Amino acid sequence: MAPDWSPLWLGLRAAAFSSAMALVLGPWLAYWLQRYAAAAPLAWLPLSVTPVLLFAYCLRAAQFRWAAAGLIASTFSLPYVMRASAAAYGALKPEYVNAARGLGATEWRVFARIAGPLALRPILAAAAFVFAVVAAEAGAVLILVRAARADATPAAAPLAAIAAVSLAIHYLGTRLERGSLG
Amino acid sequence: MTRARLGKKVPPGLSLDVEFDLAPGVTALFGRPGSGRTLILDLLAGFATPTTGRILVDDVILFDGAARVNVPARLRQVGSIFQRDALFPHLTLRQNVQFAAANKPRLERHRRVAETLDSLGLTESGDSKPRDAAPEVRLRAAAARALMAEPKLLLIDDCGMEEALVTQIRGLTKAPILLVTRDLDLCCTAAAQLLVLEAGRIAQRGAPVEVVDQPDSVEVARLVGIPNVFQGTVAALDPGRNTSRLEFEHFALTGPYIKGHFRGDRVWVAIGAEKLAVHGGDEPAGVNYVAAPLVRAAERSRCVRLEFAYGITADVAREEYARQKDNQSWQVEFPASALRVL
Repeated sequence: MAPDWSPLWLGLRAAAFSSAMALVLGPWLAYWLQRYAAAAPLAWLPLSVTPVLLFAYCLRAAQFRWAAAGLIASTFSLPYVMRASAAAYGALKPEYVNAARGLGATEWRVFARIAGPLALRPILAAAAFVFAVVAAEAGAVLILVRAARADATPAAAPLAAIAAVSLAIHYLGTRLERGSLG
Repeated sequence: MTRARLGKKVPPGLSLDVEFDLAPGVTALFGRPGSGRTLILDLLAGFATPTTGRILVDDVILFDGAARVNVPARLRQVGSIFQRDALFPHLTLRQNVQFAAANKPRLERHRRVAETLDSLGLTESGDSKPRDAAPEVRLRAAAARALMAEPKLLLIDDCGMEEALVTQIRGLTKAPILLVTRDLDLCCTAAAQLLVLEAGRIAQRGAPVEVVDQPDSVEVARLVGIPNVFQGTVAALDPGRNTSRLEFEHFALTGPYIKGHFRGDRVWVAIGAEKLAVHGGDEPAGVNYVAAPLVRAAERSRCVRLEFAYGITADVAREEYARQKDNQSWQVEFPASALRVL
């Protein structure tokens, strides 16, 4: 019997969705949260619960919807990208941001033109890591759940493919973080 | 009118409390690192908030601690040239300058940017990234970017700027310029007013040459690089002859009459190293000749620095030193008119 590749594609779509969400919202939220240091721990809170949510969803859902899985994974991805973004902003020379403010730039413009672009590499690397983790987590759990429900042995090929994709994205993320890409 | 009164405590040890006016032109802020120089610039620019005080720039209140007014940095129109290179590294020099003109209509923006780049000799290097530009070019670009925003007050931190560029900047803006520097020569040539900062307080202010020649206190004398600062006792005062006799631990000097002091008072006396003259020990001793053994001779950029016993230091021209270097013994002459009682 031909292996079922759909969990791989569903996992990849969920990962793409959650990474995109994290990439769009995370850097700006992290920039905004710099002013409210006391609120920052709240943003990290979902990091501790979302893998559980994702597993629970995969196990319980009769019809697996990649968008729903992506949305659940976003609660895990977003804080991760925010954390990486905050660290990247913290590593910037304060003179850059101060210079931009002193030249009359609004906070949004400081973020969009200066802080964001200068912190782009670590932010993209964080998004890549998140993509790899979510793709592996959602895809693998789905394969195992389906196999369990059908009382069959999980197919090795899709599991290996998921692991390979995850490893490749991790590798790209690492290279991006170290500045050897682009 | 541009005026600032700033108070701020910075743990562990700095307590800033300064008040000064800034006239159009260049005002130099001179002091040791850690004396609060950059903090003053940050407070004026709005990057840090004073605990108390008031900042008035071009008759507009930017900060008033009592009235709880604190205009954000982006609305202050205070330009900054930072100590560390702060050009945005991902933008070209031209884009850096354009960043400061974002609120202007497109055509005017292009014209103004081109004019500003041209006025600072950056037309050709405008398309290079900061990392590809020479330090001098980067400094010019930082100045162009700051000027592009048409600041009402321009702050220049200790960034190694040379006199020619300061003069050029002064010609391109009517805003008062506050220049932080450790270069006394630059203070004297480029600035109309000098503020000497010592441990968060302004120890002396005035025309740069006056401050350098006539320091008011031991701290200022040491800050402006006067090595000969001695504590002594007023041994005699003669208002008729306009003289005084000052006794130090190892020698005595005759100086001008000291107003406001009595015999027995302890005073500090300062005299610049370049104002001392040196003679051979075999020459007949004159007024204020002090015999002192030479401890060390060190080459300086424009002179030779001679360090004698008793903490006496004299700067002499190379030719003069070459003529006298074989002296068996030495005498140092303290011209009475150059003695400054602090």
